Amino acid sequence: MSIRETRILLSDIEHPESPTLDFYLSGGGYKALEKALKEMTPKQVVDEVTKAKVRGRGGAGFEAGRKWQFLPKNNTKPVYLTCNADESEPGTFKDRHIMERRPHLLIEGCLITCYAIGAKTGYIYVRGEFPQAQASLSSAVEEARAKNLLGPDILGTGVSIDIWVHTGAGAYICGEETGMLSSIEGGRGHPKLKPPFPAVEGLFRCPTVVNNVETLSNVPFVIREGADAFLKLGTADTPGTRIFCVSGHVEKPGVFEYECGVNLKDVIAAAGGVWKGRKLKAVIPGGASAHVLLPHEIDVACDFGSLAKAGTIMGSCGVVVIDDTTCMVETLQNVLEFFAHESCGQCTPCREGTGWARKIVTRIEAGKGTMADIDRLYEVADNFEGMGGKTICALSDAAAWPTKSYVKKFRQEFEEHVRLGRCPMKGA
Amino acid sequence: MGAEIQTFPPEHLKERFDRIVARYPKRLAALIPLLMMLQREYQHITPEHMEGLATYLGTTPAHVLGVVTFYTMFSHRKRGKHHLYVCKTLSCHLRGAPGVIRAFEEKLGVKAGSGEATPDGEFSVDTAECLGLCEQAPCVLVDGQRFGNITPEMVDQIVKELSR
Ligand SMILES: Cc1cc2nc3c(=O)[nH]c(=O)nc-3n(C[C@H](O)[C@H](O)[C@H](O)COP(=O)(O)O)c2cc1C
Ligand code: SF4
Ligand code: FES
Repeated sequence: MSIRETRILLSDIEHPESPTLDFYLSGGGYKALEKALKEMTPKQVVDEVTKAKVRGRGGAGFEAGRKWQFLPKNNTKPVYLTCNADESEPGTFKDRHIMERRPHLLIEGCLITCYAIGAKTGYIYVRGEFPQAQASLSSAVEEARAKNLLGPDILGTGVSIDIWVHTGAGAYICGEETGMLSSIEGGRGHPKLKPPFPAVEGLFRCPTVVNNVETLSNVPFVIREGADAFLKLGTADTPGTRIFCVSGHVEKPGVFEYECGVNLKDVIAAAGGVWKGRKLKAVIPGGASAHVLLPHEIDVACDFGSLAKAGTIMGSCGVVVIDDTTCMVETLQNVLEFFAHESCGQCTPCREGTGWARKIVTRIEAGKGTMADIDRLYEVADNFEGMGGKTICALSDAAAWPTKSYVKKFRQEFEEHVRLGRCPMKGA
Repeated sequence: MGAEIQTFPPEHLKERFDRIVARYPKRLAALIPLLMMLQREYQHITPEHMEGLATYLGTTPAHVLGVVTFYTMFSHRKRGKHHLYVCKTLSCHLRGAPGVIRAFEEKLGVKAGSGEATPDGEFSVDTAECLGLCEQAPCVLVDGQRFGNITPEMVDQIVKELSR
């Protein structure tokens, strides 16, 4: 079935003036901010976003409004908003498009959120490899400041909020929320044990809300149009739209915004389908951390619940398509090189485990593995899968899920490497 | 090397440094943004930078060193004037990154990730993990500029363009 995009977050991104304040204002931009500041109490804003069930677009799908309500009540410390713009999950590039093409949408979302949670300062943590996004956001901040939409006494309401763009410097683990906070504080990107959750003790040991770029960019729509309008989009499980990042072996890689619940098979078809007239071999639906799907498993609705039921995750919505000329052992090797490189090293199961798994899969790919290695690879991954408190953060899970699913679903291919003593896809 | 900077922060960066520090309730929070500026200006982070920053931000040189070694975008060794990040992760790998990496290594005569610059100091090459540019895989980030949908045949042209 051919499907149509619903562009709320990505509306008019192709327009050359799209990043400018004038263009944003001409489309009703900052109306939601004005409405929130002038007509709503902070609590009403929180309630509206809670009612809209805006689930976190950073990967885990936690409801934003509920997260905001975790902030301690009789708090006397400053409160911070930190926007997670680290976007480093392999196969994910949606936040970049928002920041480069619609920086004011994100800034408006940050400002409304700061007002709702009582924060006077928000930091947008943009990965170091996104200089264009940093520049686009920084000039948008200055434009907004010049028009009294940001800074002291916004629009004469007495509310003062500052937003700053903060740069990362190359480390996937700074996308993990507590790793990001350590990084903003000027340290290594070491995640911290939770609890305490950032809402209670986060940046500079103060209550802090961490939300993803796409999550916060939904806030202006919810406030301007109301929660009911948002709830009409998508599914009951995941209201709203999502930006699908489609890459790999498709004819037309790119970003596509659909209502949640769209069929994964149709998303792939909309991106031109498998390239070069080849056949589909596998799909990763939610970034490299996701469990891989086989061709017969992609007839599935894309929302958090349906993909979980299908045994994988919606995650970051990074859809990576893999054609039938691809070696899955080599693909897993590539994924494990990533995770072994990005493990921050604090927890032994993650630091050692991802390294072992990488070594074993490299051995199998080189034709030097044994049948026992295949089971060992699975067991090692099973062992560093953090669920149950073995590790500080979920990077170890993110590495375990692909590993276990590749071995399970493509076991024959792993065995063939062992039997032949070489990679069957690389000729004799 | 040490002669490069007599005072810290370097005169021409002082105002920008102070402005960034003012954004945070704690001075140390400016560390990574300031290191990024130094890395861009000098193509590496020197022991003098680390000592200077430690005093300027109120921490120890050891802390700064720990941060410098943690993040991939900082380097002790002087990088080339143009430092190439060639993505090697999943989507780029699926669309031919290994051939592109090889082509850059051959063209420039340096090994990716070795930290070594070409003898004229113009180029160095690094592999990078997913650059968040997967719709243009395989891709390269250099001097904040991006090149996408690269084939090994395009490598000559890219190097020529950067040398201009
Ligand atoms: C290893 C790891 C990497 C992550 N990387 C990112 C990231 O790049 N961007 C992001 O928004 N969230 C990332 N997350 C999720 C964050 O920890 C956090 O849940 C999210 O930013 C919260 O925002 P949300 O509720 O709006 O999704 C990562 C989590 C883990 C465990
Ligand atoms: S699980 Fe891995 S990445 Fe996360 S804190 Fe532990 S060692 Fe670091
Ligand atoms: S995998 Fe290369 S940019 Fe994402």
